[in-house]
Amino acid sequence: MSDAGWLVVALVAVGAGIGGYTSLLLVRKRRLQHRLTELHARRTD
Amino acid sequence: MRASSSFYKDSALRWLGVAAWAGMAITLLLALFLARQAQASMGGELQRIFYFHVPAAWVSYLAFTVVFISSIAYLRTGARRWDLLAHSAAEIGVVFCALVLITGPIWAHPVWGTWWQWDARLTSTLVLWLTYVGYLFLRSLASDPQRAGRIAAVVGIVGLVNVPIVHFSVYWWRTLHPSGPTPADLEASSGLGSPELITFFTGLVAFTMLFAWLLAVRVRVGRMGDEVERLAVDSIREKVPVA
Repeated sequence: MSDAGWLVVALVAVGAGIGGYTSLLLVRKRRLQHRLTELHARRTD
Repeated sequence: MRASSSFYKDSALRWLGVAAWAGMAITLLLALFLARQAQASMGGELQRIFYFHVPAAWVSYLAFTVVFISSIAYLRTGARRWDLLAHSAAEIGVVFCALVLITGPIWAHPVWGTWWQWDARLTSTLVLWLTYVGYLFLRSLASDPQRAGRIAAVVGIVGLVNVPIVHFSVYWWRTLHPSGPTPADLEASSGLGSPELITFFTGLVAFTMLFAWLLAVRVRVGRMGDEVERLAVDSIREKVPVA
């Protein structure tokens, strides 16, 4: 593969690593937020 | 008063996130279009990896230093917030250290003619990564979170010993890995001109902001997890009548 090709591979790896971790965090945050709302609602019932 | 403080915190976190991601985009553009192509002996076009590889290494050093400081604070105070901060920083440090270990060999393959060399810099970086992967495994496998926190804190403190070894390995031993520039004469010692140094420092600032943002989000997620657990336990207690 050419140097430019390997550069693209490296940049994709960096993007996938940081982007993947960020998405994981944001999904976890959304799920917990949903669960918190559910638990609070159950308490007030 | 509390609601307005939370609003400012949310707003600051959002702006930090916007600034960090904008900084990352600017770094990418500068690396591709402002920085000039390096000599063939340094990888030519491929040397642009350097603008992501070095800041990722910096963030992993920073993250493991946060683990070290918060682990000491946790062992002294026993406060959950320090344990959560250490855990969060370790997770981020492992991600960025993994990026260092991935991007390094991609650059090395055409330049050195091999993906990996068991030299001091590469080996000590791999050991650093494995130490904190072990730290995370330890936390996820333990049944008693407080005991796991204390043991993990010891690992987090001892693990930092390797950071100066990783950094100074290129000066202490003969390695294939290029050594870093000396701050006193940055241009001459690094072989980089102004466009390359601007790109490099922009990357360093962007990665640092991204680290701060990710850490704040991760701590917030951890707090929410604690709150869910507390409410879930409370709701079970309310259902089960006390004998």
